[in-house]
Amino acid sequence: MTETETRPDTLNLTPPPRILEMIAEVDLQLHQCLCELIDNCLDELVEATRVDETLEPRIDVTLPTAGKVNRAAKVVVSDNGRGMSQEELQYALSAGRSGKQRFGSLGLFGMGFNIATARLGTITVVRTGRRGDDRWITATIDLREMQRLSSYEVPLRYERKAPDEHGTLVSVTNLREDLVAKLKSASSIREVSKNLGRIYTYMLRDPNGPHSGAQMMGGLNQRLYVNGRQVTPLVPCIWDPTRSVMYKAAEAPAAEVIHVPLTNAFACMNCGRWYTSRYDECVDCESTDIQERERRIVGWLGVQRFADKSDFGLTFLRSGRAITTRDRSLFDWEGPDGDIELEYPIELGMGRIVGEIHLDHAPVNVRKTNFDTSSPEWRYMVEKVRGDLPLRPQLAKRLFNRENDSPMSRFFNAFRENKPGLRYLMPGNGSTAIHNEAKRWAQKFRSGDPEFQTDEKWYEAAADHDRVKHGPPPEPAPPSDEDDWLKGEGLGHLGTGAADGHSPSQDQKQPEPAAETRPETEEQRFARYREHATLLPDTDREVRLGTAQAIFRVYVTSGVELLKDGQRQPTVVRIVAGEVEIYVDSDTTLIARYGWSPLNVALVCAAPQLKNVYSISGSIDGLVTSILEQFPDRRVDSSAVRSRAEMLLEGLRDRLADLTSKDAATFWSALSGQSKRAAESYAIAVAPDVDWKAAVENGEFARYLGVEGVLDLVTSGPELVLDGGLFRTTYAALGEETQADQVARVSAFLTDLKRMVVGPPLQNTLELSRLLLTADLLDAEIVQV
Amino acid sequence: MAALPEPIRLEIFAELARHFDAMRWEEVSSPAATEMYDRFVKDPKIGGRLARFMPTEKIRPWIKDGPAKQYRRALEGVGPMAQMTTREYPGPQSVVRLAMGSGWALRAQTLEVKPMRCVADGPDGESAFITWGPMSGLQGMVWHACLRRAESESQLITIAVTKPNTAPLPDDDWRLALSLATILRARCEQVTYMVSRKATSDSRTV
Repeated sequence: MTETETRPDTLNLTPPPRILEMIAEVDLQLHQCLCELIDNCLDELVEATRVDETLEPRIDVTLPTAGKVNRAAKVVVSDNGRGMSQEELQYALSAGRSGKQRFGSLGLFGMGFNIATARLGTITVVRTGRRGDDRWITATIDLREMQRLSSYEVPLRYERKAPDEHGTLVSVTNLREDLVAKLKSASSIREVSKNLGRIYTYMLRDPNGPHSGAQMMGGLNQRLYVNGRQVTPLVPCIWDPTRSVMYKAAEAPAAEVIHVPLTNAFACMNCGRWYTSRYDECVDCESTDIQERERRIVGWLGVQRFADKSDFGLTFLRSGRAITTRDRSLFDWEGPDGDIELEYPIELGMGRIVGEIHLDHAPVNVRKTNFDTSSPEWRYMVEKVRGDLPLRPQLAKRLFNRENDSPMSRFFNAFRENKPGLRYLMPGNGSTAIHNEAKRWAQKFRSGDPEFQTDEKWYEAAADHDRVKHGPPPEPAPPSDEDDWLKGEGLGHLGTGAADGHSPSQDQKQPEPAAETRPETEEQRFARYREHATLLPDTDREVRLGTAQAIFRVYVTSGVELLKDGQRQPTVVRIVAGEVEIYVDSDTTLIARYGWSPLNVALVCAAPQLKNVYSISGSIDGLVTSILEQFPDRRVDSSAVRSRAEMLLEGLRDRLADLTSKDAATFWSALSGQSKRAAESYAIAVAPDVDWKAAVENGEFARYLGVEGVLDLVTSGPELVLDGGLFRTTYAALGEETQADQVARVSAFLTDLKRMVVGPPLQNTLELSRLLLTADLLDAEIVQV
Repeated sequence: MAALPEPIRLEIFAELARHFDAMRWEEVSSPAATEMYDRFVKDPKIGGRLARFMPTEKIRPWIKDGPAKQYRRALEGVGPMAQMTTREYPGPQSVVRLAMGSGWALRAQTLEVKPMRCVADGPDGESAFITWGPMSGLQGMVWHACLRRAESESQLITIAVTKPNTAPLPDDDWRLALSLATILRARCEQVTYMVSRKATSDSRTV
């Protein structure tokens, strides 16, 4: 044998199957593994339902239950799609081996499939068949066997099937020990189901469902089951797109569609590299399989019907699968120096801006848990949806001399505050926002309760808040001057209420003959009260009364006398079939003159009767407390007071910075030395590399001013900040003594604000309540931006 | 109270069929169904209309024992609600074919419900009793198979356990069904029995 003959022409570098087992060591959770298999099913079913209107698509995931799981148990994912031919199966599996991924699709048995199945167990069976075939084709991928034989040959099996049957099934067995341990937890299947509902919200929800915003949000109405139980999509609980608030004298809708068309691009179907122009051969992998693909950024921004500390933010999807949820990166502003500042939420740390952005063309990481945020595709989306300027208009104007006009900025500015009432679309109870109650309703929304699918309940609560706080809307205007003028001209028949040819006054003169008077029934009497009443929104709920549960409602009446035995009462109570209704007269002395809240009046006045009817032992005080404890939104505590104050101070700084940017020197000189030093210290604490000298010169110092500094401005330079500058308070036009009163009044508010922000936590409830009232008064005094 | 007029009864059936279709009623769990009955009672288009013809406490049992049970049969193409649904099972003939073989056919006038059952005729003149339903209805199917076996020692009997997808039944379930069938000298088959949407969207009539 010559030396040349012993030299091989090639080396066999086929990777050993053990590599897949090693790759499977990556930290993929159970639901993430299942997603890789479900993605294949959804790819197929979306297409199958498009071509066959009779197909009722379904994907079934079967997991061994806690009591039965062992290594020999199976994890099964099956769909009723069209199935594959032998050639298609071979292509799908071999494509997976080569790491090939189809664009516009989620999986196609790619590397994700291989890693996911290997992560679950060592034997994977793929069984598939098409309508009309009389056999299932079954491929068994046994990693250990492949390793033992050092072979990539996969045995095929053929089993009888009914010609009507079709679909693909992937089953994994010889499960990994850690998966078995995981499935032994009774809650693991529930957790999987919940995660799948979150990840596939778009795929699973009905675009024609009854929930507000259904059509705008869209959905593909696919069905997914885990152990026979339907996976419920986590549907965003948003305000209807037809709702709006006023911002900059224009209507700002509560939801907005995002649609950014992009130019088509060319994608290498082998390695995934994108090209802006057509290439015959991929520069990276030399593949000639390069196809033109449509690209676009689509989705929506919306306002959630409740605010929450963590449950808000954006969902970013790729091919219908949520890659990240509750993402808040678009609320960050990255300054020119690279510092990142969180701009939202501003209030109590509670946010409610949500949305979904589909980025089918942007790259994701291998585990599909995040987009590549350094990619040009992601950065372009950020530019279009959020913009590169601060969301806060004053800051943007000061720093860049223009405002951020992105969709996110418009949303941020219209809905940045969580104040109760219709102005910001936030449910309230007449005194505070009812965050807890609004969230409880959202739970009912998510459990499918039809009464909570539209935003009606939340809207009513926002409107009722305004009614309770500011009184009912004004009655229709009495005959106007215009009517008098018309009468003077002999054209009285054209006036208000005279469209039918005779005036209201004529009707009054000739009343209809009185109907036969019948005594009013109790039903009629309470119906009459309700006609003149506003329901306190957070009270329409079950409340524990001793050992009983009762539906509890408090109505605030106006313009109607509440009577009992012919005597006018501050409250009347009606208890029927487990429902307690308490009617409170808003004119009653406790409310009108002593500022009690209607709920407190209702509880105190009705407590003896409730105690009697529900046979509750103990004191009246104990009963009232036990009921109030069930209304956490009503609680007054020091953290709520401090948060409110910090929000007010933030608003003051924002507004003030707008003023100081125009005349920084004058404002700076009005500050005491102590306030100047405090502002500088604070600036260095929160922004260590701040250029303080520049901040003093350009007015930016106002963003670091404490309450003491604002107080300095009010006392030393009232003409700078009153009369519509920082505060609405009238000043210049008044006499000297009254001017002093005005300064004293605003100063008193600010002194309280200082107490709220920098003082030790307060425990005295009366004082906390007083400070909250001050905050309300001060808020009303500040010029709105 | 006046009796429920037929046109109104059918309108309420149609309204309920719409709800049942949307939620895939045959898959709804018992607790979820209980909650749904409460909602139907409160629904002005259902409970609200029925309240004119029956006491409030009768509305819920009327829905539960009437239309709710009719729906599953309607999916089989049986009963007054069958024309109102937008979904359907492949039907009894399909089960006969899937469980017995392509030469077998449903014998006319032998179809019965609760559980679904019929007589089928084979290509060589033989006949068989066949009963079918999901695993949750195995008890009823076995009972009717027992009754048949009590009538005739030689009758061919097939119990077909239906499943909503192509995945095989869980091993434990299948072993149980096979064991019970063996005791009765009956055949046991598992049959994929998937609901499909009716071909035209406007096929629902009252």
